[in-house]
Amino acid sequence: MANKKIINNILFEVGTEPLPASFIYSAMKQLKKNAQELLKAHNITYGEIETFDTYRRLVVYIKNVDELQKAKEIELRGPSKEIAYDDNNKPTKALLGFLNKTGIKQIDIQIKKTPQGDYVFGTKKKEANKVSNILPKVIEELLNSVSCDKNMHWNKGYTFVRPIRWIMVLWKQKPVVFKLAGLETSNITYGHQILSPKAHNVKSEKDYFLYLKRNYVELDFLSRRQNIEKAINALAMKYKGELSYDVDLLDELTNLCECPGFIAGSFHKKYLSVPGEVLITSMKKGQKLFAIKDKSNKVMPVFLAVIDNHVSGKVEKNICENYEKVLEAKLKDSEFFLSQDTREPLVKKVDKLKNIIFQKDIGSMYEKTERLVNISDFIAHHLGLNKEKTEKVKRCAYLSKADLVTDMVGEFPALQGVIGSRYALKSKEEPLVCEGILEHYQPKSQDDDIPKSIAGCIVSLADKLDNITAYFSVGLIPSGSYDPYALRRSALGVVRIILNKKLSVSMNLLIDKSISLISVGNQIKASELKAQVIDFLNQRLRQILSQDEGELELIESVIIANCDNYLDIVERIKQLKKIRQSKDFFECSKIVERTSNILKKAPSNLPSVNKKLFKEDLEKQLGDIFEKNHKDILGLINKGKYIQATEKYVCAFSQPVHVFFDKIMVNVDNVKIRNNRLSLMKDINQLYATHVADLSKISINQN
Amino acid sequence: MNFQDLISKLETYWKSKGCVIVYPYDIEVGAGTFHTATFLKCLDKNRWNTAFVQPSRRPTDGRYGDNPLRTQFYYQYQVILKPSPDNVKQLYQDSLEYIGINLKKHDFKFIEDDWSSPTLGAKGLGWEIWLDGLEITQFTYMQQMGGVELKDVACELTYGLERIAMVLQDKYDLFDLEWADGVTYGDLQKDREKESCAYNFEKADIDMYLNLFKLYEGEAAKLIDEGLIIPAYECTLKVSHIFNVLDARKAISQSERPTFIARVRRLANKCAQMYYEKNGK
Repeated sequence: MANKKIINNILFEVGTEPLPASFIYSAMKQLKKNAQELLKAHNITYGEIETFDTYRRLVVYIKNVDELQKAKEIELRGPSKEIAYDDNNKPTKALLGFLNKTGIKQIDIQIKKTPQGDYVFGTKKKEANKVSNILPKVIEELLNSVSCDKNMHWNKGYTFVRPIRWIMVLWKQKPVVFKLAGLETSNITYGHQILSPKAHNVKSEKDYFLYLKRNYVELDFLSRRQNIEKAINALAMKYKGELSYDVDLLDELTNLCECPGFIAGSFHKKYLSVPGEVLITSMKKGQKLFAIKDKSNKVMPVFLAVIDNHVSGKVEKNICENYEKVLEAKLKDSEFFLSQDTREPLVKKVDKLKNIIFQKDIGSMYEKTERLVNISDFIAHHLGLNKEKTEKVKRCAYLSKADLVTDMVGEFPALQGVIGSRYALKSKEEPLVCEGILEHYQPKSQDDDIPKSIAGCIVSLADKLDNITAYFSVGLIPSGSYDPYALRRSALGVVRIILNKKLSVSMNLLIDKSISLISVGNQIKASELKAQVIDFLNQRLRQILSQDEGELELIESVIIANCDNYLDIVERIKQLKKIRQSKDFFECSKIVERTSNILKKAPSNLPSVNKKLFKEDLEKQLGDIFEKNHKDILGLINKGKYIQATEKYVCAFSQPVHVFFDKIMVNVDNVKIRNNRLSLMKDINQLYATHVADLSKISINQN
Repeated sequence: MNFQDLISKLETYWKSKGCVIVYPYDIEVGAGTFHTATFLKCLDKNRWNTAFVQPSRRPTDGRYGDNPLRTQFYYQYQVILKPSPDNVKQLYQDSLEYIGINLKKHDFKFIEDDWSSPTLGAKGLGWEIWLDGLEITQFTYMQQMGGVELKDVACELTYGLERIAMVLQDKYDLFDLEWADGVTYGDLQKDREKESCAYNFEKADIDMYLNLFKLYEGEAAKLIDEGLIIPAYECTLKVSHIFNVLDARKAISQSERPTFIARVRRLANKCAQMYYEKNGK
């Protein structure tokens, strides 16, 4: 283009009543993305978009915007070729009319084929609008594009997450005035809500940014965040404490202040008798205070408050005292709960779980507790724990949910388990019991640690499995994004604990046990439920194994064969991976594949092999080979020697099976003979495919 | 500034802003929202600006007078501005300055809090207002009342009078607050607090209260059928308070709780619906 582009900036600020801290981060991301899309849709060329957000304003700064929209070419269809030209190939009135109407020149037209025949086409440049003309529309669309879970009304005929009180729009440093969200836009902004409440007429972009900086508004999220981080670290250093802090709290406070300031306070040492987790939660939830821990992970009697103000001297001291007094009152409350809750030993609370519902169609927490004791007992026996340890594990299961009826957990629900463990210790329960109660909700997320103690592992397994079977039994099965009881997380926990702790558990028996403890109705329902639970767990198993191992097909073939014992599955995968490229593996998969193919159309209730029905020598021989070898192969399998089992299987069957298929017709008319041959194929197939891996599921490239 | 002066100051301020000063409801309520000047008036088609003190009972919050911040009986200062004016936030901030809180010398934060009352079928969006880490006010744009969506959004400002007095008097035990010269809040309220806690937590006759719940519920239903809105609503208030006592007495299991709450809400919703039909359209 010959003309020099004229570029300018758009500066847009929406002033609101305080936005929810949790919304601001999402708004920041939405605004940038939506602005990019909108500008593109409107053919506006620009250089860069910056967004800023505080609790009181959303700011979009679009730099180097082309003053004109990008010109757009539109193709127009004229008359058909036949109508456009006369016999002498001269333009007709129809064509001239089209050219006249559209302003397209005759030399610029083209003839194009269409399904209706040949037509005249021409392209016309759509007039490029000035950005200033469409800016109100673009800004309105941008504001409307910000979505939030919960919007509100405030009598302006508009809805947003919180009331909008001013809108500033600058283009070429000048205000753009129009109606939006029940307001008239202008060049007015405001500084900090308390420290600089007066309206300010913005003279330029530079003036805007400078004014806010001087009037206690730090627009940049990261700057605010870094300031807070520095303050926490400084305080931790001062008290020689741990340099760690709650990131969620940091983000929240960053979005609760426009000018973060800091107050370091303390509380009386006597409250250190309150469990550390309670102190931290109380400080965080009650007053949004950062706790400081010492190097041995104990809470120190100090805190950091992040305030939305810059203060010093007497005012600072006063605010600090106010924070301290309120904290003291709250800690007193925790102390009150502690004394109320510990009037009786923890075990006395178990009975009260009868009043707490686990799920309305399943029963109370007390009934769940009984199931947990039962399942935990079963797992402990299964793993061969001695009597003493088994009793402790059962005790742990029995007490695991007792803290749900305490006042402390009522006040701080997130501390379930932690509180139970603390109270168990006060009630002089065994250390293993206390540890197990503490850990039995773990892992709470994908990144969370699994329990360290055996009691924690077993009760956690029992709890999670019971969650799955119980909710499944009343039809509360996760689907898509619907998983309100976090059952996928429970299943993942089950798999992770078993694999990590190398617990050799028969899932069949364990799930049977779990299902036997809830009323399901009838046997058919029970077996359906079992199949669902196994399938659900296997999905998580696949997820974890494929993360570690890759080899999706191999994992699948191994799981399909037999998924009773997760450790065994891992072992089979490990060994088969070693011989994945070997001739034996290839041969083995051929045998499994051929036998499995012939069985696809076989009746499901084949009788056992009957030697008397063998007609041909070759099939007799193959029958004998099976007879001679299958016990040895099973023996190797039972010892977990899968490589050797594979070798022996191949050695025994490879040649005779292929010969059998080449020479013997399986599908003969005689049903008995046919089924007998199929039965033999089935025996050979299943010897490998239901014990080691169903290799018919795997694609093989012969090298 | 003593407690009674604080109340007068707020009254003067809000009177000057055009509020009608009314008086506390004479039936036990959990908050100023239960007062007909809030609950029913929010449903009214006319403008409504009011301010009043409302003694409020929350039996489960009792601490036998041992906690400096929590009691089962306390005083709210309630302001309703309907429709909500554009400068409502500034009006509120100015009211704090008017009673002597210099906001420049404090940490003043708006913490998201979407208020709802499951027993009243009421919902709003707004904030808890924190002053130096202490919640001093609930600030709500009321969106729904008794299950009815509000055509004119009302702003509800609920000041925690004791908390504000604590800041003003620099006393962080509410029983130490000066009510009037030489008379403390504790002088007037401590015995009542202790005895009420003993009653709510230990002595209230569960069978009697369960029975009362049923009786008042039946009465409310009957009055609803007869179209006597306010008497029906007053019986609903009784039912609500009786539920709160039963709750403090731990007489209602967690599984039954939602059912009890739904029973109260059903009555409240019906009253609201009837009032709205009569006065809201």
